[in-house]
Amino acid sequence: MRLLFWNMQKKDTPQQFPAYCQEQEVDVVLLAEPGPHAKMLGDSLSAPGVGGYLRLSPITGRFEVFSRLPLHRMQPRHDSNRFSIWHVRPVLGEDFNLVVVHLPAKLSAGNLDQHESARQVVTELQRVERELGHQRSLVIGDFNMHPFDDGMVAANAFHGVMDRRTAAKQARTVQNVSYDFFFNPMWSRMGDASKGPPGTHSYADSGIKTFFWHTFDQVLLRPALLERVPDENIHVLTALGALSLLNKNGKISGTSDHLPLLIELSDQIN
Amino acid sequence: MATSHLWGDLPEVVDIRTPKMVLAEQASALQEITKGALTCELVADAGQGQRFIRNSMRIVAPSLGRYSVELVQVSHPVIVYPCIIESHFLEKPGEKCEDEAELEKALVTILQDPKTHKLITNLLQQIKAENSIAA
Repeated sequence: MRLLFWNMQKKDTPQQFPAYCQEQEVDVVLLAEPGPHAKMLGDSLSAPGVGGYLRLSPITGRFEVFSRLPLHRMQPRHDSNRFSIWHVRPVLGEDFNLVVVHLPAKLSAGNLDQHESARQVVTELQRVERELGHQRSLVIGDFNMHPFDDGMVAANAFHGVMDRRTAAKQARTVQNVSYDFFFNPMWSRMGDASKGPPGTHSYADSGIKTFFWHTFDQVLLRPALLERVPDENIHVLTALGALSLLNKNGKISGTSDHLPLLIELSDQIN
Repeated sequence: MATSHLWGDLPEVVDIRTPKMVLAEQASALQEITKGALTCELVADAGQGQRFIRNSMRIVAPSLGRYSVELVQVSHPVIVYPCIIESHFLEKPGEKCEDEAELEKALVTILQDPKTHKLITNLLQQIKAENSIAA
């Protein structure tokens, strides 16, 4: 089961994108800030020889979502302006909850506001997890926060830790309240020594502090999904087939200032 | 000897409709209008830093796997008015309401927004289609 997330920054996907999705057998395409012709992407994704994708975009308009799963296998559970939750039942493997997010940008939201947005996503996901009776949940998207920002780390927000062994402990108690963990593999995708590019988004402001590269596009895994998504199943894409998304200086160029994420969930863990 | 107290003359308690009551009325109304096909749930939340009580109203489609959409949020401190009403769904920024009349006026613009009506219509169409498949 393969998921691809990409913040398009209101630009259209490159011409090579549908063919790439076919070659890589992407099951669900999730686009944030879709371009003006994104609705038509369903046609090219579903063109003969490419595969039958259905447009399952939420009414909020923030995302365009295309799935090649049968309709009844991807059931919407909740839509808010900044995130959507589906209950996904792959043909093979256990069902899971898929959350796609596009949280407020640092330019418009302060640290506390971002923290609050994160908390609201988690609160809603917890409700769905209770209703469905399991915590096989994956959150993917543009969080507009670094893995080390409060909203990503704080126990009452995403509680995303950098170590699988810590996440496997399921939860920790703070001031008599138990908070469930997420594992955030994107801690390991920052900087030159990491696998892949130094981040997922490049932007340099003129302030006294700038990171140049940001890892705003992330995936979070509940402990129940740790074994189904090993590190080698998480890719920050720098090319779509022959089309490079980086220029000769290694900077993001061409389509969007964000790089896509490709995630594979193994079908079954025995 | 009569018991004396030091509280002074406490103000008379005047009945008010809290934001939660106002939302609850509209939640019941939608359920009645749609003959139970759609329901509304109110969720209370202390919010970041617990300085505000936040009541959110979401539309729920029980027969569509309990699919829900959060439509409106009303926040207030311990003193209920003024309150702040906003709709993330409509990307409508927070609006300050001094009393229940202002709250109702702001709520009308959210509940009667074309996007809200489109949402409700779409959900009802799907429920109808599901029912016809099941029949």
